Amino acid sequence: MEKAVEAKIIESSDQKILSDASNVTKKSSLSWTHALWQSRIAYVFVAPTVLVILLLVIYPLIQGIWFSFTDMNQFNMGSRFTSPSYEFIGIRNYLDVFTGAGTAFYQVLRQSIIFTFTSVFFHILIGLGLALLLNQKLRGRTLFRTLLLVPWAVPSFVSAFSWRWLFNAEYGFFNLVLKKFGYTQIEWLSDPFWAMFAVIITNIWLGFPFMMVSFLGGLQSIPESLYEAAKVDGAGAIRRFFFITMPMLRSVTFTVMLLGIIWTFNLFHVIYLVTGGGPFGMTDILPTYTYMEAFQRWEFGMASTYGVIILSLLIVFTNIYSRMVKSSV
Amino acid sequence: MSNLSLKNLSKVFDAKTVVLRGINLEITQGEFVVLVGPSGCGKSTLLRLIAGLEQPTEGEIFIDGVSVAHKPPVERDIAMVFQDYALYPHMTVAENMTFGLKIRKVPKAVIAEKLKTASKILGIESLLDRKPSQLSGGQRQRVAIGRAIVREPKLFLFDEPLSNLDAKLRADMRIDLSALHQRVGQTSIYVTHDQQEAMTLADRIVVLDKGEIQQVGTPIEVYNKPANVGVATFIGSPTMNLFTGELLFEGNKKTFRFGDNALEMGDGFDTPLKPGSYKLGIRAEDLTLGIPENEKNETSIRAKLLVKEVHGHEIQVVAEVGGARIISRVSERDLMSRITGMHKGSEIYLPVHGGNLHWFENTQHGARI
Ligand SMILES: Nc1ncnc2c1ncn2[C@@H]1O[C@H](COP(=O)(O)OP(=O)(O)O)[C@@H](O)[C@H]1O
Ligand SMILES: [Mg+2]
Repeated sequence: MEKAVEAKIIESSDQKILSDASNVTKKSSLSWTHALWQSRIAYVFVAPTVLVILLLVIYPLIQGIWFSFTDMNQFNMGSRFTSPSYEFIGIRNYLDVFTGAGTAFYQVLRQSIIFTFTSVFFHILIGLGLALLLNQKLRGRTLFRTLLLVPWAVPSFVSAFSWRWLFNAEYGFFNLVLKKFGYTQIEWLSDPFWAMFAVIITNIWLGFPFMMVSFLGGLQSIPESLYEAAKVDGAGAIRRFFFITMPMLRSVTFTVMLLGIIWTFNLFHVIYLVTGGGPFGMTDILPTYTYMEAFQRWEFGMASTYGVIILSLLIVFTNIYSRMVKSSV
Repeated sequence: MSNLSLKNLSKVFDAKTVVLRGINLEITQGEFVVLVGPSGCGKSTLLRLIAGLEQPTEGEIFIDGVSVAHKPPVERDIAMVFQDYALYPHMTVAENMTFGLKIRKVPKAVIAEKLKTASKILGIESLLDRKPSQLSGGQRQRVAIGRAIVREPKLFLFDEPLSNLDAKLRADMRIDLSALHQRVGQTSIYVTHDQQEAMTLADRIVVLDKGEIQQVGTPIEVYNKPANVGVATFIGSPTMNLFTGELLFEGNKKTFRFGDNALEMGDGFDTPLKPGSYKLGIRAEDLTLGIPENEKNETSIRAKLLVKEVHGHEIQVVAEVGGARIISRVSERDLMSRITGMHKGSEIYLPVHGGNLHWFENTQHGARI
């Protein structure tokens, strides 16, 4: 009896809401200018942000895409004395890139992938390992946690320069150590393999603290009672790791992996400061190569093309990735 | 032979926080024992010692005669239901329930059989493929209990399993738990701070306070003969009325003086054998409202009406006597209608049922006389 009355009340109020809603849509379709006028305050508030984004993000983006279809370089870009004379050349830049004519796209792409995935793999491995250690109730773990954040706290260009010195062939720490123990010294920064090794090591050093902190946060958000329930269920330490810790860290892992890959793929300063892309472009990755195209070879059209390609690769990657995450969670 | 036996068990945290001391307890096969006590008194710690999640500082634990005090949980064959349920969020209900069996390498067919039986008992057959996040609080609770019963352990441990449910659901689950215990019949130790839960569920109640066992007994024993002031005021709702005063013997007449009140001990009143300083406890149902003719009686307590709490089947009359509160339960209909007409501040007389008085020493501990 009571239930029925209640249901009726809900029904009638639903109808009221519905009819209200249809009124609103009718009104707004009558005069959208009226609606615009009504919410004018809101537009005033978002206007500065929209303006800044238009100016700093959208405009350069569109301009960059436009340049990628031109042959713009230092001679035809125009100056105070000459007017610009670069021309629309359609997709010729893109054809050059993908056919490998006159640019080292595939080599640089391969180097980018090696650099990115090796770095992120070790970031996650070291970050997770340290996080697991620091999550134990060890003595002095606060001190260690602080010390392990040092690579992150020091400005990264300072670290990058320090590493360059450590790898220096004549005075560098590593070669001095090798010499002391009677091994042959290594031309760290002029041998293609070791140069890649050096930038990856530097980047691992710079990047693991973020992963460590993320994983530590993830670990600390796992309720202790889950482990206790598992103990009572009879799970030993190894089973608890694989059946509780790992699954509970999954979403953190997915997130930091995505961020890590995007950041590393776009990373410029480490390579620029440690090897400058050398020897002979053997440690260039796409962002540093793009920089060289623009500001060493002054091929702005080609540099823009590379910019657009990097952007597209990351968009495609992010899409595939988020679909993967969605389907697996 | 007792199923679980605790001998002189103590637990000290960080070499200074004494949480439990000298716990001795024998629990027989099939009993439902409720550990009850105020928050922080060490109930969970005691349960975790039994489960093997903590190591005792001193003492012994025997399960079926085997000493387990220093064995890991896996060797104790116990199951525990946690306050926050502790369901594995990434596993389905079925996986949650069978995790322990899989670890113990029970054959697949047997696992399926046990899962089926347990989920049927608990009425969660339709939920087996869901993740814990897709369940309501009450359903999670059932799954947590299901995870315990599929294992058919020697001991069930419950740590405040109902405290996260709303009042209605809690009352329902209480009944379900009682029925479940009657059906499964396995020894259970149940921790709660809710004395009502303790009273309704327990075969035996263990009252714990300040890390020590205050009293062990059936719910009726603990209610009717609380061992000390602490137990008396903790068990029972509303809280037992307690007065500190002097018992005077004058010839044949015995009078209890407290504040500016004097309560004469009538015929059939229980009193201590010697005069002196005591605490007198009177349960609310042992005080009624005086009926008009003999309202002003020497065996009544004179008080000022403060609040009338209407419960429907009864009215709890809260009054003031000598600066202290006194609560009486009135359930006869004509008295109930009489009290509804009274105002705050009215003088009322509360006749005492002298046969159910509780006398305690006037000390900190306040042992029962
Ligand atoms: N791991 C621990 N370290 C230090 N003190 C603890 C620890 N666990 C519990 N305690 C203390 O022991 C006391 C009893 O805790 P607990 O057994 O959880 O009480 P209850 O379950 O009865 O509320 C509390 O004062 C609590 O602070
Ligand atoms: Mg507790």
